[in-house]
Amino acid sequence: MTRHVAADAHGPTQPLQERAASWSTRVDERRGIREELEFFGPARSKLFGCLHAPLHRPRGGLVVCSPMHAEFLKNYRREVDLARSLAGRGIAVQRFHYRGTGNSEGEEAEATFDTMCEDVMFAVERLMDKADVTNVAFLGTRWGGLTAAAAARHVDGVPLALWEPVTDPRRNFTQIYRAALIPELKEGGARALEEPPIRQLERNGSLDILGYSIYWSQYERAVEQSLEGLLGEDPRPILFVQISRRDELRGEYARLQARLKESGFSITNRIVAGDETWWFASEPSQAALLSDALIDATTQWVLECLPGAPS
Amino acid sequence: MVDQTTDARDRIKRFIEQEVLLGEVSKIQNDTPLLTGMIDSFGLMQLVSFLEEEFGIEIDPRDMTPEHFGTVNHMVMLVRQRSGE
Repeated sequence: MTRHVAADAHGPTQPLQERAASWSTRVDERRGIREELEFFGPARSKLFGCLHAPLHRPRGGLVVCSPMHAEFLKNYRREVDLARSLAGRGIAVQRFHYRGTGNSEGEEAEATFDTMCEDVMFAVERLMDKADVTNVAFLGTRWGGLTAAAAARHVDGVPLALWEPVTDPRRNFTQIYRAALIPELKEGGARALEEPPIRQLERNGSLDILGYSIYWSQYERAVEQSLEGLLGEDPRPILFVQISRRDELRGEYARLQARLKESGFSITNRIVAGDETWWFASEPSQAALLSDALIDATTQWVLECLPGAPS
Repeated sequence: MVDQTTDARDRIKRFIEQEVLLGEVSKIQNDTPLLTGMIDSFGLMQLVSFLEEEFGIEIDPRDMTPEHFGTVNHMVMLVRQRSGE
């Protein structure tokens, strides 16, 4: 049974504007969870977030760091499904939209890699405060792997789950740009590019790629970073999820993991069967299969990593 | 010892036949035109990822031309160029 709780905490005598919902709650008694939508965080650009929590006091928490652009939409449902799966097992999950994206306030053009990392920390604070948890983990997908890794450095030993993380932001941009050239290539008329696309982005400030505006502000600081650098040298448990048809770890992940293991990181790998280019296109039926495998593997890992979590 | 170019051709053809075309086309030739209806956009993305991973190369957006992806032979040339051969 599902109940929706109206946002009438201020009572019926409040003016309508004041009573306007700053939060809304849904209770799912079958799953034993509640979901609270709200705006929180920086005063000038409030972040839209959703807390998925068990009906009883949670044993731990997870912050979800989403990817960007088309990947944000392709991954959205998986994040919701994971959040519900974990909340049903006693883990509170905070999802949010980076400022200037999704339902959050602010302009996307003003978002930088630094503001995205700040937003993750706002989400961590919100989760700890609202769900009353002290032990947290992070999940980062693609670009979100970078912001999650940056945030994780602020919390000693915090477990980090990474779904297909971007290891090199410059290479990630190249990958997206290449995808945009595919239709032209298919028609046999791909134009000759005079300069590297990343330079075009820097010069123009933004580029429209695959229907999304990509801003230099998001890449400017990020291209100086790498996932390895952001992870630092403080060991922590990490789950790497790779989506591919081959059951062999991709070269970029194998090389990164070798170095992380030398620093004492505890690495778990899960290879989920699916197309490597899921972020470019995937059929709904395939996405559903991917989703189940991803969620099962990640739920299990989070439950094992967070102390006090029920199995 | 297998010639490196022949080996690269075979690996690329095998990937296209098995993973991109899913066995629907039994045999492609080294000079079969691939961009004119043989491989769709999704297949091309798979192919680019495969070449990078399988041969340890990086494909620049400036490489995304029919001269590099039109046939298996073209791709072998691209791999050789990017491998510094």
